[in-house]
Amino acid sequence: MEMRTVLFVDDDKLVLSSLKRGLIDEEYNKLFAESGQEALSLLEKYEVNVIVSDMRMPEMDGLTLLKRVREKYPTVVRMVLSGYTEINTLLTAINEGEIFRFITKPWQMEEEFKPAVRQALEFYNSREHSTVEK
Amino acid sequence: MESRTILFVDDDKLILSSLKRGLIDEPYHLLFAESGKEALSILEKNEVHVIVTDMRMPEMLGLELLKIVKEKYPNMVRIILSGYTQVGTLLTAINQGEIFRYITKPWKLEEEFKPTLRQAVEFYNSNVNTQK
Repeated sequence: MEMRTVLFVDDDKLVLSSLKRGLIDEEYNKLFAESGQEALSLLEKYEVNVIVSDMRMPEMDGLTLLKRVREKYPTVVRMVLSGYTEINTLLTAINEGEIFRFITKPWQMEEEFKPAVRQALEFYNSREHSTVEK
Repeated sequence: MESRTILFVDDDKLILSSLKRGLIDEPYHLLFAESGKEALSILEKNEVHVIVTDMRMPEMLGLELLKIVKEKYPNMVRIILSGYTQVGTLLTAINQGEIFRYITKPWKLEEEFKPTLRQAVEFYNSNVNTQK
């Protein structure tokens, strides 16, 4: 199977570099964006399979980004990695962003985050297989 | 296209009868269960496409039911209709139940609930189409 690609979006560079370090041995391509705009331009150039986005970001918030992604690239599996957790944020992320996972900061890399990204890729693969089999 | 079947699960009979009344004109086959156990036995006998469950129920919680459903019937679209809303519950519902929607009680039938059911059926249909 071809190598899969995961895009991480966070306006906090420390979060991105921490993810980069923590995921260095994971067997997928990693892309990093510091804003929703940058994420969208990466999505135009690369085939992304899973997107993991922060919620609170200046200019374009995570939910707006995820909704655009859902519209333009419906097969991309959407995840949230956010420290900002309120009931309404969560309800909106689920009901409008149709997210696959909502991971809260600080995240547990081994027990929680890595398995979640792997499951997202599996979910992507399972749907792609079902399309190929027609 | 054949008619789709939706199963509603709530230990409160008033909720079930209110749903039944409110959805009488919708083009689905509707099933109702008062417990997770009853829901599972209905699922064994009927082909169900969308399940809508309460969270807090005696014996089997909605989340437990949804986890079983996810494993046994992975194509079934899972929705929660619950008045019990806490951050932890919501996180577990999305991360372990992989739910499609989380609707809070009291629900808005026309603006929210009916469109949600339609989207769930569309989502089911699009998934099934790609699998054919």
